[in-house]
Amino acid sequence: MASSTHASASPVEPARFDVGRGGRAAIRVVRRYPFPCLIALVLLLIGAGTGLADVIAPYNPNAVNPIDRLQGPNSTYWMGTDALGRDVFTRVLYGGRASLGVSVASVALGVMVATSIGLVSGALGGWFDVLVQRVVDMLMAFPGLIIVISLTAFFGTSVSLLVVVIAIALLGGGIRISRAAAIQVGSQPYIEAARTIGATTPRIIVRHILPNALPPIMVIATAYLGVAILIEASVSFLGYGIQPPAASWGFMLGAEARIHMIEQPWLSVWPGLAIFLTVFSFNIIGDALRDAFDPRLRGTG
Amino acid sequence: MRGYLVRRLLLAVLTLFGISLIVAGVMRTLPGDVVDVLAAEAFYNETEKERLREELGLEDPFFVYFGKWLGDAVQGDFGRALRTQRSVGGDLVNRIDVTIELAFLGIVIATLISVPLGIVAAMQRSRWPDYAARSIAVFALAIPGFWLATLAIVFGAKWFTWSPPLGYQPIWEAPLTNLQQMWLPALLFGLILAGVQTRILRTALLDVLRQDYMLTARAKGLSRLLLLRRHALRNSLIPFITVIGVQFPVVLGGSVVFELIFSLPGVGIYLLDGIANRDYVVVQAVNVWIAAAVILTNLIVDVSYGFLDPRIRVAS
Repeated sequence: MASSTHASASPVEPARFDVGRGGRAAIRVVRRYPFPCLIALVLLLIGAGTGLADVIAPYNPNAVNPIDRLQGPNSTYWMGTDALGRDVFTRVLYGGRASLGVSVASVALGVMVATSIGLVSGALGGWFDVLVQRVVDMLMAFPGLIIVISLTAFFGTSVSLLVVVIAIALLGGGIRISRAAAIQVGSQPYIEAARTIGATTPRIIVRHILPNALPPIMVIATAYLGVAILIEASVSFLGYGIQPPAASWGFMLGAEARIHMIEQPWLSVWPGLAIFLTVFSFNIIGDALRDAFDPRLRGTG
Repeated sequence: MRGYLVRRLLLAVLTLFGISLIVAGVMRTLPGDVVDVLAAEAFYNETEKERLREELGLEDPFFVYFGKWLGDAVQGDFGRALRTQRSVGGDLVNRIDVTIELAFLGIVIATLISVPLGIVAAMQRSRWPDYAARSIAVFALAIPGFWLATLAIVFGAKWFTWSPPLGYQPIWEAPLTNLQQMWLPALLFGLILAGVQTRILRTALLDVLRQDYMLTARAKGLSRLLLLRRHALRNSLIPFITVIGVQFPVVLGGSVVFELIFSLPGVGIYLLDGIANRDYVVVQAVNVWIAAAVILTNLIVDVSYGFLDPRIRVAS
């Protein structure tokens, strides 16, 4: 009896998955940084949910349905409905697509331009560096939100303009960080070695300084994703960002919606929660990246 | 020290000049004819349009226009608002106290929150008080100010039948009424600002605590409290003051939103009204004023380094 049990059990070996080198590395990262990995998952969900809004959203984001207006969360409308009877959950998904799209595009643009200027400025020094620093001083004197509302209001409120203007608002800080990184990398012996064997300055900047200066730039880029979302939301809240009827997290909290919030307080909760969760996640990932790139800083932020 | 001060001052003036030039340049390159837009709204005829163009200096070449604007601005004349025909400089002076009070109270509250949190976090590093303080800071960092204010108003009305009082009273006319209006926006504003400040103070303190002289001080038998007071806090002041300087633009930007939600008639509302009216005389003036305020704050911060740290004084 015992032997037969043994015989039947023996072929069943514990399942072994060969996760490979990449897989093992991933497991190590998850074990070491469980919380940031959880947050990365949350971000992935937010990204997928908003990116696939067309598929996931239960309703049309602009479908007006006055009979069902101003409902609280229920089984038909998970987050309730707004004053026009539109499904809030659907609009949060579509609004997220707009917010994330604008902030990713503006950070990509702003950080790319800032890095090019900052690295060259830090690597070259001299009059160019002095000039760049003065321009950065001027850029940094304008609060981001104020640049953005002043410019969008006059130049028109298109999404591409919003992206460019938010990128401008991020430029000053980005140049400062990448310039500091370039100066720090530039003092390393391997840069001197490259110079000695006759590498040209453009080659040194692109092949040696850029890759080594990348970690702090990636940290700031991640943090800026959160900043860009907050700016976009504030501008849309004030009515100069993404224009209705398109959904945006900021506008859903704006003046028009505020009138109905006493009747239906849930209206004030969801879009803000979405902004908070997204920005919070970007900040946590930014902190984790900084810890990972520079172990000396671990736990200091 | 004197040379340092003079150099910083010259640099500040130069930056402000550059900013005025950029703002004026941007305003001049506005798409479409501003006068046409204004005239269409106010039903101006051709001669009135011509007069307005003349008055705004739009007929002049850019540098003549800028020279005039700068000459007037230096004397405190920022032109007349297109809609109300009131002096923009006068309007700004009347409104600036609201914004200054909100910013000041916000920073004070943020400091009252962030200093204890930062100290506890750094002294109890990697223990639960540290994690708690850091979580609070990361939360504060991610909450949009306008959302927190909206929630306060919505749920204040719903649960406490409280709504923010209308009709702003200046603090020197009716201090009590003023504070009744200001306490909530200032508190919420302070909570939001405390996030960055806590993080920076904690990092700065940890940096100082790692120094050799801290070990020496500890070795000679100084108590932890004395250590903190005599050595750690004083040496963390510089990064902390830097962050208050760096945060100042954020404070001014956030003030726009808080003024709007709590209907406080400050510079932020003035800017929003100017934008809504497409009044570029107002928008230009407010942008230059705000930039000037930021530059002045940075100047004060830079100068205070010299007082706080003798090494900086000598090195310059």
